[in-house]
Amino acid sequence: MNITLTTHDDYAVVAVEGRLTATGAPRLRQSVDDAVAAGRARVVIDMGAVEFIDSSGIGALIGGLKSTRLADGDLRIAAVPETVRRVLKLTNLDRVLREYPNAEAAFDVR
Amino acid sequence: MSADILAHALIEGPADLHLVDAVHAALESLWSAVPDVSEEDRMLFALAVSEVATNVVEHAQGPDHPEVTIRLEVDAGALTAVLTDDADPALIRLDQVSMPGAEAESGRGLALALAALDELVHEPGQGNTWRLRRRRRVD
Repeated sequence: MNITLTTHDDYAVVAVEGRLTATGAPRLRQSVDDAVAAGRARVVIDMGAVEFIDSSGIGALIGGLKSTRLADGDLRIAAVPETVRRVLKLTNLDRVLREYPNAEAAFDVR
Repeated sequence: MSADILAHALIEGPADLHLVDAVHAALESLWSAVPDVSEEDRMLFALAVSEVATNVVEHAQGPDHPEVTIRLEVDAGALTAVLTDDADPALIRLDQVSMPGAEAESGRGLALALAALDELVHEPGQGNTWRLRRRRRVD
């Protein structure tokens, strides 16, 4: 799994590529924490290149959601593939993690 | 054992999360060998195996470094996996597993595995044996 953190003026994008499982989940948490520490508590997870996610990856998203909200921000997911959407539905989290068509749209104020 | 095994894989190693990555790589090889397995069957079986393998690795605690063996099998009717370890028997009641609420950061693994499989059996003994089976759906 590869992770890329990109900071913008008032939000950050964490792009995840590959399989998001227990081996990669701590790195996703770390990237979200890095974004918050850099003053970007509004974080978009770009899921467009995620090939697979399991409960460890889901747990990292929930952990990230909590830490961004504690910092008065939010965590949103973008470009969600069908395989990820399926797991979100199975875990009843499809209404908790808001889905956006792409990273740019996630925090678009207009 | 059914006679019409189309493809199989065996993964062995110490209880370590890298074993879960090895399982995913082995599943990819199985799908290449048996390309008519549907996307849905691939995804849900991989999900179940990933969850149980992660659970096995994370719970395998003992004085010696436990070894885990994972056998994956595809036949015309089903996808099966058997995971065994030589760790202490896990105290898990599968009939009491349920999906945790939205706030939880863990505890969803076995609930997801149960949802993705037709059969999930845990046999504690000298170590643990997990049997997973998903009947192949017709597209």
